[in-house]
Amino acid sequence: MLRDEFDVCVIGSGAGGGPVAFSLAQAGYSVVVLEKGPWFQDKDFFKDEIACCRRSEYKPDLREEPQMVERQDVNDKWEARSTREAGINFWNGNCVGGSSNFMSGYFHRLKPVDFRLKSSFGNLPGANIVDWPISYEDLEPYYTKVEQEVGVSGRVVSHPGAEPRSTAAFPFPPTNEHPIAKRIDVACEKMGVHSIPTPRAILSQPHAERGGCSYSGYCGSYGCATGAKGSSRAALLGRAVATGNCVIRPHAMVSHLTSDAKGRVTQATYFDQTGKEVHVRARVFAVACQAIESARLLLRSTGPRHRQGLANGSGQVGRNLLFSGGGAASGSLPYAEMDAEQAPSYRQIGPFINRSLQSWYVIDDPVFGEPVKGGTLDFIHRSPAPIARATRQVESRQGFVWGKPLKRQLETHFSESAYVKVEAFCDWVPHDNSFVGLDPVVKDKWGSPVARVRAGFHMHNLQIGWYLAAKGAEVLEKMGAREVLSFASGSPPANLQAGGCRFGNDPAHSVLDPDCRAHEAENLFVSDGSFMPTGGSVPYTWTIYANAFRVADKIKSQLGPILA
Amino acid sequence: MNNLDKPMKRRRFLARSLQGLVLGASSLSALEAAARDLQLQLASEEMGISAGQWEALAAVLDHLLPSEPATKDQPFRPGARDVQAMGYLKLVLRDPKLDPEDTRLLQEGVTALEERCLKRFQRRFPDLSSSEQETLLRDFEKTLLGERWLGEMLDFLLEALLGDPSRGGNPDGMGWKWLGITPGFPLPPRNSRDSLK
Ligand SMILES: Cc1cc2nc3c(=O)[nH]c(=O)nc-3n(C[C@H](O)[C@H](O)[C@H](O)COP(=O)(O)OP(=O)(O)OC[C@H]3O[C@@H](n4cnc5c(N)ncnc54)[C@H](O)[C@@H]3O)c2cc1C
Ligand code: SF4
Repeated sequence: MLRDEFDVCVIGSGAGGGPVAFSLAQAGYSVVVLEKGPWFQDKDFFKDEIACCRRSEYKPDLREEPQMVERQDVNDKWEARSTREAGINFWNGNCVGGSSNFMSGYFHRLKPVDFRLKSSFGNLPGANIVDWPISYEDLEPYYTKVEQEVGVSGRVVSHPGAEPRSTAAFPFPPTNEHPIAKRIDVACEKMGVHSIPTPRAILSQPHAERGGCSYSGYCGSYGCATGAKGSSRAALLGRAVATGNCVIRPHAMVSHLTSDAKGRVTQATYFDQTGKEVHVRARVFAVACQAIESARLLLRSTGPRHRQGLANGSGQVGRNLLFSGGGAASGSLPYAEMDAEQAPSYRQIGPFINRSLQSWYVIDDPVFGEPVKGGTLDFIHRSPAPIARATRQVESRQGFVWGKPLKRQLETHFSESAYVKVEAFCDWVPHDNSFVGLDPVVKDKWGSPVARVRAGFHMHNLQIGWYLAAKGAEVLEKMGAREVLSFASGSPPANLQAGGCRFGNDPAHSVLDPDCRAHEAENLFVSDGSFMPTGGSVPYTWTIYANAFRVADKIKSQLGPILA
Repeated sequence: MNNLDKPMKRRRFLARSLQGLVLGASSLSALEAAARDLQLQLASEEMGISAGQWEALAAVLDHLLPSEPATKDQPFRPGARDVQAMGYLKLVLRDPKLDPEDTRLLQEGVTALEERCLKRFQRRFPDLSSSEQETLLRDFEKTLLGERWLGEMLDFLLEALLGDPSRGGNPDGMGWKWLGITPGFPLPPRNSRDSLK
């Protein structure tokens, strides 16, 4: 007989689920983790571009589990299309550890100003900017905890925009650096701006059961075979299971959370691998399916006190969905312009660039009038994935390139230059046209309505994105890069999701209370990035991990002492 | 294509490919591979692509990525046939995760190309000169179907050139070696996808 009663039921095993499962199992509570995907080990991950990136083998089949995406047509009308044909996929990795298995692990903390965006800069027309109900100081101890428990490597440097830290150094030294990093430092020094070593959720040396980074060269989008990458699976879930208090159930697709007449959640229902429905009861439920799917699960879990969906009495579930706003720049460094010793060191693919700039985290430039919130620039290698790179060589204004001209172009592309990319991250301004709901028609293979995402962007994203991308391009020019390009985009990056279940003090305008407990269901917590009312100007995952450790502490105090 | 042609062409195609494999076989596993290959061809034909169409597809792939043998001034630069693009394509079509829309596009495209070819040149695509093939493909590219189909063919071709060898193309990492690409590690074990082959 499968056990069907636990202290805590965690739904989704990624960055938002792992810390809750780990902390509560370590504290002695019984925990079950329900994860819709399979459970891979380090040894199951290979560098196979076709598997990860062309057939999306770690994501659901979109014929069986599509999502719908709404885009504005030429007449400004919102048109919905299935992700099966829309060229975007909001699933990011569905297996134990979730998309944290496939992240690149560029880790940044938020800064104090991110917790009070509205009081610092005011609201924008058409936007729903609010302050957070907690401060940076409340989250700081948990950022530090992530450094230790998930493993963050790096080097602390002082710079004008640095956020306060409670420890002097990272617990792990930085990962090996590519010579391009030095070139960025020199260029930034000439420009009078501070280049910062980017912290990484990657172990630079072996630790406990995990190996150190082997510099495989193919990191983001690929699973890690050494355990060095700080996925929830490698860093936390193995240790949670080892306590003897945590059970992980892969292939468990949670379709419904049942609630009672008081509004409390009583059980989770999931479909197992054979399609059979299974029920699990628990004292507390923590939902962490990644923002879009977490909102979807709440919306379809109606109950006697939750007629519009779980915790959705005020109609807030799914609203103010966030992605990461921004832009990008790129340039090439031709080997022919390097000396004989330099070129081979630039050709190596293992070491990381690991540099970022936060000199424009707040922009004080007359072009904007008043100071505005800016963002972060991350310098990275162009993805080495050869098929993706080659397919871009096929396109030209005149039509496809093929035959011998294609072959010559491939030879040039792959052999003549090193490439540097700059990714610019700014706040995704929350507003009414960025939300997730349930599609009224389309169902997944189990018969549940699929998520319908409207990912409209606020013009402010583009203005800041352009500004930051141009700054990135300036650094590239200063480095002597050729073919420098920069652009901003309003398209949502599908892998960086947050919001949809804002936390706040006012139940009329938020789904969760400051502890990330649902205002309307006292034993329901949401522990992924959904809680964020504004996203900050960095990728989210360090904050998701940190907050999930904080939520675990709140759950512990709610559960009280462990009963024998 | 003339329908009466089909059964004969199909038989000839199967016989030839089986022979080629068996004659070169020196071990049981090679014989098994030959048998698997035969099954694969039958399965592929059930997908609605005739033997003649496979020949046209092979010629298109050769045209899009021609093989360039080594000369005294130039090293070997692999083309579609060197990286086993056809074998790769057949494996792709068997992959249950492939969207049936992609299979349909492949079938519709090759059918339309053959029709255009017969109408314009009264010959089959593999029998055209290289410049005739170029003219036909460039014309076809201007149609919506042609553009989508050529895009798909180029995608599969580049996967065969630069994908992991366990997927059926890029033998011994030939495409990577040509372009000086360092693959990541660990790579999938050689036999990891044998069940599909
Ligand atoms: C290629 C890539 C690169 C990235 N790089 C970075 C980076 O450099 N820096 C950074 O900060 N972030 C990065 N990220 C983002 C990072 O991975 C995510 O922010 C983080 O993993 C989100 O955590 P989560 O818990 O919300 O979701 P996930 O980690 O995706 O976990 C959600 C889990 O819930 C499961 N699930 C969903 N629905 C159900 C259901 N109904 N029942 C049961 N289980 C369910 C899913 O299968 C999944 O395993 C990257 C992501 C990708 C894909
Ligand atoms: S070994 Fe290092 S480079 Fe390779 S996937 Fe793991 S963390 Fe990334």
